[in-house]
Amino acid sequence: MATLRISDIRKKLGGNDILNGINVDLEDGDFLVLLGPSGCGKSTLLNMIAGLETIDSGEVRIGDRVVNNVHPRDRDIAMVFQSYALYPSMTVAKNITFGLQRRGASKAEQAAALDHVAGLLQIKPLLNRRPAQLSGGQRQRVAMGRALVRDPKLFLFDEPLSNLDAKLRGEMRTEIKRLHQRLGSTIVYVTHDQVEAMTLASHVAVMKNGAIQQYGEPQQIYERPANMFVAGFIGAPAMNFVPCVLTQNESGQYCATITQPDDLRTKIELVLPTGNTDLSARLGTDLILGIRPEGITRAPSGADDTGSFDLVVDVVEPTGADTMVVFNLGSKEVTARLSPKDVVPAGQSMRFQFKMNEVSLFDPDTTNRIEMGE
Amino acid sequence: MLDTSALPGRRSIGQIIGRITIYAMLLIFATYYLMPLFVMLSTSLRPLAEIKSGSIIALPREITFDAWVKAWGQACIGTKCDGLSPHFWLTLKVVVPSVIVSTVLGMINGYALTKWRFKGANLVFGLMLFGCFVPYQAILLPMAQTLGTLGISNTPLGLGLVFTLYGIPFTTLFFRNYYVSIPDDLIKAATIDGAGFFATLWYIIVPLSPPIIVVTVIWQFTGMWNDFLFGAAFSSGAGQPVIVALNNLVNTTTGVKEYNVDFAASIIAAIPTVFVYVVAGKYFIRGLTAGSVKG
Repeated sequence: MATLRISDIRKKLGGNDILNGINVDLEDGDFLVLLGPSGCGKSTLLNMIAGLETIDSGEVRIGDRVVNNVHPRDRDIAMVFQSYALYPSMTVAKNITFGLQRRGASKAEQAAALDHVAGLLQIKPLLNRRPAQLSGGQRQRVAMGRALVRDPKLFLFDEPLSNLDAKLRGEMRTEIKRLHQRLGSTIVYVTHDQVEAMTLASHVAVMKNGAIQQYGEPQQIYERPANMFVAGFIGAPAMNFVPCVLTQNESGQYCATITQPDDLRTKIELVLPTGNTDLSARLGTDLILGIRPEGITRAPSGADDTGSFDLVVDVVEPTGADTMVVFNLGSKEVTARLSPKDVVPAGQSMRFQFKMNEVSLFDPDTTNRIEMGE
Repeated sequence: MLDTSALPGRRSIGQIIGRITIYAMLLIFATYYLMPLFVMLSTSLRPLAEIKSGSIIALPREITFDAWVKAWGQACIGTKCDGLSPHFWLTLKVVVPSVIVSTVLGMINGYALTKWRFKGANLVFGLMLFGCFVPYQAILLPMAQTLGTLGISNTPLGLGLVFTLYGIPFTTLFFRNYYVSIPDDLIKAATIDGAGFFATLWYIIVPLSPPIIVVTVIWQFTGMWNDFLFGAAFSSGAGQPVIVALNNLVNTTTGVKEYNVDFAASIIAAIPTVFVYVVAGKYFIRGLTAGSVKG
């Protein structure tokens, strides 16, 4: 277990910036998820921490030691690969103890460590099989066993669950979480799956084009996304973005005013939870209102006009627990996640309400979040 | 593979005729291809007198191993009459180490070129490939000069060196193309596990390599064993490899042409390659078609 400090890491490859000044600070026992679409540099960053790729500039520090020029073998790390990378010719037991053997551990030490890890991951019956004889989930466990057995300072996971089917992925996710809680190890975990990021991480770094878009705790990233990319990447279905104009009502409250594309150009005025923030400079400008599907509810009967509005339901998509309701708002398709009992059939009108304390506001030019007071 | 004969549906007369035609064709071609071997074997077992009188296709009336004994130990090659055996053992002595050395070097090359890629690896590989295309004749004179300078002309060592050098481009190509399909993650995992260049090769890569090793060994062994040009160019007298000696044996005419001895000698010279194919043949096809190694 150790801290991990990454300062201003950069990497160029053939004139392209692969990584653009990455800074990360992990405490002992943190679970960092590097989240982003493919090609965002997250795997490169992980490989740099592992020592499998060189660092152009910047510094990686594991514990108190700068490891830029330390061989991967000597960094005291372990890595779990997407392909598992189990040695095909070796039995499960050999696979797990290979690292110990290369480090000159005695037979007795190897056996003890193997026994411990096999018990932890419940793979004792598999020890004499070869990787080809294992199912995907079993290979995944063995790959983790190989990482755990050396009790390294830092665990690196490179999309470890993306080769598993959905059900198994959910189980293994829980397993990884449980292992982390139990062992308290420091983990860096790369994924493009936002559900894994949300469920596992103590900290998430959302990456795009070789730069960290936002770094923070999962809930914070979910609730207060730093820009529209982060907002759209986290959460499924994705956050709805509705163009609006910033106005002020009679009582001086800031409002997001959405113009419906109907003949009457109906205006929907939503009071923003701006608190004491002074947004007067933006009055009259176009903004983007971000609202998550779960931030839209059916307005209770007898609700007042502010913040609720009647709209025709376009499409209804039941998913079992929730039903997705799609309607048009401000010439955008907006998805609401509603309880099935609240849903009216497609084509009928229903009254929606936004949970205004959950909305985000973005600048359409920079796509950055506009902060509103508490 | 789909067994068409086991598919449901009625057998029609047409299908049965089709079957018969197919097997008849197969039988005809099998006979046709086996005929030369049969003639060689039967002739080598006949006494010389019978060869002159009888048909060459008929079975031998009288079986004798005299021709084999003579071909192995007494036939005259040039002026020496020791048979093929000294050349046979000499060739084995040259070919076996050459096969081993060129295969091992090809393995290391292929491994380095795919898994430890360095700047200019593609260029190096391109140049090595070029070695596959250089015609044998083009290197005869430079090689003769090199062997002379090294003082190993007309020695088993010299011939072995030529075989090994000429084999490396091919073995490198084989191993490189095979190792390309081994996932790089295995090497990364081994690196983190603390295995270096040779430890990774030995513990991870070599155990995955038997199919391609077999292919390479067969290829190299047959190529070197059957070589004529290098043997003829870089050796003489007692230093000649078996194929060159065979040629000289057949061409050494003292009186009557002994077809039975010639054929026996030919078969003797071919036995090692046949042996290698029989022992390792099934791996040969497997290795040629082997694709990815599942991790």
